[in-house]
Amino acid sequence: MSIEVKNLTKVYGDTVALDRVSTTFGGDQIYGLLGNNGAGKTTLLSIISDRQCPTGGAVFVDGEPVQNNDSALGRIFMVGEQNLFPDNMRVHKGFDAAQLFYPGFDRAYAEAAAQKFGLNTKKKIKSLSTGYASIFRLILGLSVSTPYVIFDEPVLGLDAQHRDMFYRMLMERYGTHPATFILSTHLIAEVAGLIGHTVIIRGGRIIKDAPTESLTAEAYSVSGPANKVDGYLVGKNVLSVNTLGGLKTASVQGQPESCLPEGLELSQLNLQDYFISLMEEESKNE
Amino acid sequence: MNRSFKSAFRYQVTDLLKSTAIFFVVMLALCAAVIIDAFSVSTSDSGFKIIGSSSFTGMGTASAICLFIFGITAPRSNLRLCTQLGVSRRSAFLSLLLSALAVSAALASAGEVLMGSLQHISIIHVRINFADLYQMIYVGSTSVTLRFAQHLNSALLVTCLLLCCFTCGVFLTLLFWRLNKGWRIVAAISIPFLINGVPALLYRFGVDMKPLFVWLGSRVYHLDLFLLLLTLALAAIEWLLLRHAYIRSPSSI
Repeated sequence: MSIEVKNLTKVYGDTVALDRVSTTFGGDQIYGLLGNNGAGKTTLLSIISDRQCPTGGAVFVDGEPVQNNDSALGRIFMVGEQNLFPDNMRVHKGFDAAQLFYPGFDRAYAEAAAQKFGLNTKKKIKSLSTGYASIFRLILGLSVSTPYVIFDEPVLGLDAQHRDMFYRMLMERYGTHPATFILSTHLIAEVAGLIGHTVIIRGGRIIKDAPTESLTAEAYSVSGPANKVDGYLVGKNVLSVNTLGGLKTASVQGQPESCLPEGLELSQLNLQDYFISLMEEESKNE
Repeated sequence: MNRSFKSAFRYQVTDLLKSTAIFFVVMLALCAAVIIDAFSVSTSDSGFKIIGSSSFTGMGTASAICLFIFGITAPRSNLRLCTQLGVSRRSAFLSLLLSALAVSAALASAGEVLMGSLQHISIIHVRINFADLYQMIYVGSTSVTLRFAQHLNSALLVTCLLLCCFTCGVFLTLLFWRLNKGWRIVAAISIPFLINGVPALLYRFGVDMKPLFVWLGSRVYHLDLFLLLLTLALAAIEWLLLRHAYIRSPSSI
């Protein structure tokens, strides 16, 4: 039971948006799809949901090809950045439509969630603010009960309180209705605690695809006086270095020694720091 | 038929029927205006006199224009919604055509019932004339009312015409959806040229279209067949335009 992406390639003119991407999403886990702007996240997700066609490769949902396949597409719900609902449709009509197409749509949950967020269901979807338009789509994503739910920049335009509400509701829903969730976001620090598996994409290629814990355990951070840090870093695989006055902080790939030189402090990298370090390293290598 | 297809059909047919109902109410109002006009009276010194004389022969044509406009407006938003709600573009497209067929048949039948009813008024009031395309092309003015079989032929002709006009609208909207800005300008200039220029060029190069028109006018089934073939040809081109289209929000195009 999984979404299998096999050798997916997407080319726009001279630009290669996806370059032979292969990965798997499944096992009722929460995935984080991370990448810089223009990395190919939205392209990958829109091909998975058959909104656009690949130049090469294929996507399979539970073994069935996704392209032009109602059975496969009916098992995916994509909460994208864009509104694909008709301009004149009201929020409650949007819920009606979702109920018509997804028999498992939990209307009571959707209504309750709308009330919780303060979303006026009588309003036209087009007239909603950016934040409330995102909330409308998030509620649909949480209510559809499909085995695979994709959130592409789900918290776009949401304030801190609503973002927190969404993360809580996602975890609650995940607890009561386990499914495979894919979160594509730039707010890595906010979702780091939610995602069990991380896929990092850069320049149309997947550069990391592993459980989040093992990724952050691959590297550590060391900080202290600059001269001592410099001495420690000799011969090590340094991902990134930040200097502030006489203090230096470095991210290092690998496992730290059991005892560090005096004056240096060791800490585990969080996902955001790991991502930044990895991107800096990739930039240096390019 | 799978669940997604059925849901897409139900959604699209309901959406089209709502708009069609509004159109039909307008048509009813127009017919009422025609009758009121014909029955309008004036009193003068010489007495009481009917002054009106009216006719209404545009039900089929107006319905065709209406379906053409639906063909332009409905596909994009319906295809987007279907894509959002897990329906493949093939099912979305086929259910759109099936919805159009259902709505065309419903509107043609309703129009036929309306025309048939109104034609009975023509019997009692000679200054009113109600007729539709079939009657004007294939029956002529010899008969004020139609027999049941003629009504069926008329409804079939209007259904084929409406479906064809709908697919014409879908073709235009998909064509302009897929083309970039430059090609849209080329298409916008070319379409009027093709419609007006090609028949003129054919005439100039000695291609005689008259036998075709004679054949179409000889029997209503010939015209039905021609319209259906045109519909199928347009639908095939539309599928080619749609099958690789990037379905996204209008704001991001």
